[in-house]
Amino acid sequence: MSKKMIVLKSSEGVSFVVEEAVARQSKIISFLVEEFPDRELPLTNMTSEILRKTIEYCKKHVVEDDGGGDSSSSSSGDLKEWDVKFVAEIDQPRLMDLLMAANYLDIPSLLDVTCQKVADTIAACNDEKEIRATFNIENDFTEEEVEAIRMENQYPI
Amino acid sequence: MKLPCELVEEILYRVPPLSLLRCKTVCKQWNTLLNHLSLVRPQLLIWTGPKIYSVGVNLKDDPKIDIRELPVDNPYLKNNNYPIPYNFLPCDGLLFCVPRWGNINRVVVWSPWLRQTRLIVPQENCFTFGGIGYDSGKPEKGYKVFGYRFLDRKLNNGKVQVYRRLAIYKFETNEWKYIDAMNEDETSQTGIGISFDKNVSLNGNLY
Repeated sequence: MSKKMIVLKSSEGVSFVVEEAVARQSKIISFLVEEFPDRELPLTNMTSEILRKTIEYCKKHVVEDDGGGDSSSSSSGDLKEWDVKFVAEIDQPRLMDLLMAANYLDIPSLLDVTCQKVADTIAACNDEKEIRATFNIENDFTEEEVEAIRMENQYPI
Repeated sequence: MKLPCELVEEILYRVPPLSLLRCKTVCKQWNTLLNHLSLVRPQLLIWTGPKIYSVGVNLKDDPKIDIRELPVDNPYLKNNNYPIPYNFLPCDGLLFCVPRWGNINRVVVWSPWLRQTRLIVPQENCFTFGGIGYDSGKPEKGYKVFGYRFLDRKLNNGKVQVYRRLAIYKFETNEWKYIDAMNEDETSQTGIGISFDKNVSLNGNLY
């Protein structure tokens, strides 16, 4: 049962053969394999690189999830550490792609760690200019509008 | 970055409160989302024992209540690392903190949300602090702290009269202003009963 394999195909047409249990961490895939058994799933909006990363994450988490109940607390701590390292090694644009992939495939825990990493990056920025530069966001405010928002939110203490 | 709103929301939700203010001025989408999430300013602060929580209530299309635990590490509320018992009066996301011990002559205005603190030490001793208020008509608020004490003075006829001195501290100027009540008999009869536990600060007015 756990050795049942399915095929995920990236936007470049590269096939990834994955254990069903691994892929099922995605709620979308879980739903699809029930509806359409024994089919390969084309993921046309995911590059091979992002798909590989996503699968790497799912593999790690599926192993830890059914790896015996006795050492669960320490292994969940290790898993957290692994997650932090996992997102730390990814550069900004790819992190955003991975976040989108987690959202698209509906993998809540991966969405959580990627969102948290982006939030930490935002918190580490010194001002709104740095945030815009880091995330390539266009400033659609006028100087006056920015000033008005600042005034509105001032805490004069 | 072109992310759908719900993903930006997921991200901003995880940004610590201190950094949220500068997120508002990043772009219009973020500003709108943050206003909608009402994350930048907590609507309510509640405290139980040693813990303080912010409560945000969102009554728009998908009503939800967001409760977050806030850090309570404020050195001003301690004396040599030993916590001093304080009474708290909430106002506009701030906590007005008055020591329960009369011999500690200071008040602390604290934003646990933004981790900002102002220590206010009155120039005269023995003031009883009533609370904090602000001018809700002005965008910059202009917070004021209010307190009073009793003094006595000798009248022309030789009698001693007890009167009340009101003190108002302005945040903008960091200055105290004093008003001496003319006749304490009248005020005490009409009874400005100032008891800290009964005071409520609402939209800047102190009741």
